[in-house]
Amino acid sequence: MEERLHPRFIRWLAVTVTTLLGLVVLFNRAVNPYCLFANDWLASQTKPETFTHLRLVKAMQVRHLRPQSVILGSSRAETGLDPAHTAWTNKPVYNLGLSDARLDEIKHYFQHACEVSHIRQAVLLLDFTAFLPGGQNAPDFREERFTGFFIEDHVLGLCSWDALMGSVNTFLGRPGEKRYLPDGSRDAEMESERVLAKGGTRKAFLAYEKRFLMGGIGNEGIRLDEKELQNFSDILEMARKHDVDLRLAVAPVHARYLEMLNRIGQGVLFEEWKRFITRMTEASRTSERAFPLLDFSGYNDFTTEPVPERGLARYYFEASHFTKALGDELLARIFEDATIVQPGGFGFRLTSSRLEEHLAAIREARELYRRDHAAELAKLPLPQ
Amino acid sequence: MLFNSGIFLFAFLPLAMLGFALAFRWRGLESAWAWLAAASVFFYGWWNPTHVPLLLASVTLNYLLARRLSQLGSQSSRWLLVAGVVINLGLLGWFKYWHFFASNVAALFGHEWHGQPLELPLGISFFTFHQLTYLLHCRAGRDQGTSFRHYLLYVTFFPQLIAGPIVRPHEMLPQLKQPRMRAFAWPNISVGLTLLSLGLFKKMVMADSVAAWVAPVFDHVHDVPSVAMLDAWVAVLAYTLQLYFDFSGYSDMALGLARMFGVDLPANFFSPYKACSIVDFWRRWHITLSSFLRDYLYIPLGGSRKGPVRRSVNLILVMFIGGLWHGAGWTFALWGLWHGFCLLINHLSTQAGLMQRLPNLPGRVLSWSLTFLAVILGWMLFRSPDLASAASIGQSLFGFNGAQLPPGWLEKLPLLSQVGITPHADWQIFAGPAQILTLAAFLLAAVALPNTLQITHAVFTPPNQAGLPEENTTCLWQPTAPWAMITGAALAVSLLHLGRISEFLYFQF
Repeated sequence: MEERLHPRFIRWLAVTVTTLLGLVVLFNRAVNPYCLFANDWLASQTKPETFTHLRLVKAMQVRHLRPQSVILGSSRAETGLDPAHTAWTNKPVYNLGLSDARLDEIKHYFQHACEVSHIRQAVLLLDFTAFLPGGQNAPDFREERFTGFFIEDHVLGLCSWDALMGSVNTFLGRPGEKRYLPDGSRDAEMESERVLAKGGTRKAFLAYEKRFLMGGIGNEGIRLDEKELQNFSDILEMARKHDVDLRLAVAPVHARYLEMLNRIGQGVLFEEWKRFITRMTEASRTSERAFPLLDFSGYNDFTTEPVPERGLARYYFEASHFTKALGDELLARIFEDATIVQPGGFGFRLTSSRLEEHLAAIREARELYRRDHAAELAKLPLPQ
Repeated sequence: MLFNSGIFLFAFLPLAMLGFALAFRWRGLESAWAWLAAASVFFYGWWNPTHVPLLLASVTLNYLLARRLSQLGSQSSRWLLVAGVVINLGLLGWFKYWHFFASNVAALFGHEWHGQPLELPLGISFFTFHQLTYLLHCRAGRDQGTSFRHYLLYVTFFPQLIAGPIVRPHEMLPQLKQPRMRAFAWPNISVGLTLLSLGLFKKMVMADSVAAWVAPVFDHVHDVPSVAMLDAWVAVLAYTLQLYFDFSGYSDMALGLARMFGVDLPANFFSPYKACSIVDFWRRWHITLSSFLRDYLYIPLGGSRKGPVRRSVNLILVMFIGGLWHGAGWTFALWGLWHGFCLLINHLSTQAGLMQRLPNLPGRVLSWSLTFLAVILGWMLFRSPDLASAASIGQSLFGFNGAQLPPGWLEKLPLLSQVGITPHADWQIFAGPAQILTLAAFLLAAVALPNTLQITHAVFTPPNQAGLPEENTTCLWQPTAPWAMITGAALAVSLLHLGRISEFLYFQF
């Protein structure tokens, strides 16, 4: 074999590799499946890869959109709180909720939003389980992402097999596991379709409860995590520093969720947590800014909504995640400062002076709920 | 630093090649080998620098012992060789088997062992075998005055340091002494790049794409009441394919990388899943290990020279040790025993001429099917975390935990319900026709396509070529534009998978 053929072979090989990789980069740039760039060269209706690359996509979208208001929290926030709600006074609004988010992640994303945009208003939907020890930040959470240009994101977002498959899915308009809107919130319609496809709200309730009680929180949840408490304090400090009108809400979980918390022995800790966050949100000095904290987690017409035998419930997908209909009620109360709510009521403003009265009212309502729903609650799975 | 990582492909390898070329040009061949040895030690230290002193101490001690053995030749004291073997195997045993041995002895006497297993120095099983063969090579008087630099490179040469192939001294050391016209010959680069690209493709595209179907079943046997039949079959077949494409991909990469520096390493795989008997399988699977065990264990034990009973004992013993070499665990030991048992059956059936009595095609199909079934049952043992898991998966494979199908399938084929097949929706990994097609396509590629060595036969001759099956192909690689495009496409697709880095399975052995 003639030796001169080999250099030519290597040149051909180099040309092939470069051409193929170049085409992949161009296609990924054009489709922009992970929203690395502010504009798409090939327009697509949705970004089906958002859910699988949530931390990356939301970090990028908040940079491109430069919102004036953000929604912070976990999947409850991204599913139930609507950036298009009329009560928002500073627009655009971006839903920066992150599935399974720890406080540490929420803090970093809030800080990122404050750094890339002038954030005037924020709603933080508080999830009790995010304050428990044992959790970890999501695998795709990368702190380096917030320092500016993160080369790994760009290399993998432009020149990787995953990105190529993501671009193909986006280009062909294939539905992802969960669909997201450009404002960062989950597509409520698709969420409802998903629940319906799996047999309706009752089945979703039962499946969630089984997951929760058979291995949900575990034995780690017997105290609050010191690091997460510090992260919460840091979030408040950040809001003060950036002069953000931050409003906080305890998530409106269904009464069955509260029952599950009590069953795994965390009812007392749940109250203790409310005492802690109430203290933290109040001003410790007269010069310091206090933040309104509303509790939506009691027993009322919304949270005790009957679980339908068939079809969908109006306010809940399952015991933890609520619909936009309930989210709208919540946002309306958050932004209507004048609304007077009785202790134990939906959206009661937590203050140290009236907290115990509120907790006592919830305990009383709980007894009533247990009595009225004894047969239904008896069917909840036993905790493991 | 994995071969399939960006840091290796875009930093270490180019720098190692550049340094090699500059050293060769300015200081000559010996300096180039010295550079390559230093780069190899650096490569090893990248994993865990604390194990570098151990490696270097082991290499130095063995070299001194070997020099002494070489000087005295066959006149040297047998005890000098025994001392070398004991030191090497002692080191391997200490790191790899001490915890296993102590915990089993403690359990035997009803105690609980509280010690922790030691961190296994990477590649210790491989560099121990390299050094043992060198000591034997020297005692036999076959060494031609190897310098320390050549010996260091022989043991630490980065393409084979971590997971083989196990190279005999006569297969590599003479190559280091050959005068070279220039550091990089274009044929070496083009052939090396081809082997590297095909190896990367096997590992990153094929092995890693079925890997996701393995662990959810094998590592969670105790988390489910019983593994469903289809889950068990998918997991076992996926592991069978993952292990082959992973390890043979690694071996192709090792051969390609070595070739880039002008060194030809021995072949380690030759389409093992084409084997029509277990004896044939071991001529094709991990060839350098099986020939090592044959030459340094089976034959010294008497091989087949001392009658059928002794041969059977030798076979079982060698395969048992071969099993334990892969890891300190009873599943590995049982895997070895299983293969020893299958080899015995194979010999007995050959003596009785059972397969020869069947017509050619049905005989071949039956032989291949039985061999493949024996092999995948072996891999089930090999991959299971413990014997109880292996037993449970084995039961599921053969329907002792029931037979299940997706409810939709049973609705279309109601007859199956009447023969006891039950609907099942909560699959661990079974994902339907696309998954089955993927496994079938990969199996077909392993069974029907020519292998890398056959394709590159015209330009690459491994040192152990004489022991390989004589199976040729007309699909021969040539340095032409179409082959460059095929190779380039394999390389490009592999590079696109760089973001998902996974370790090679054989690193753990």
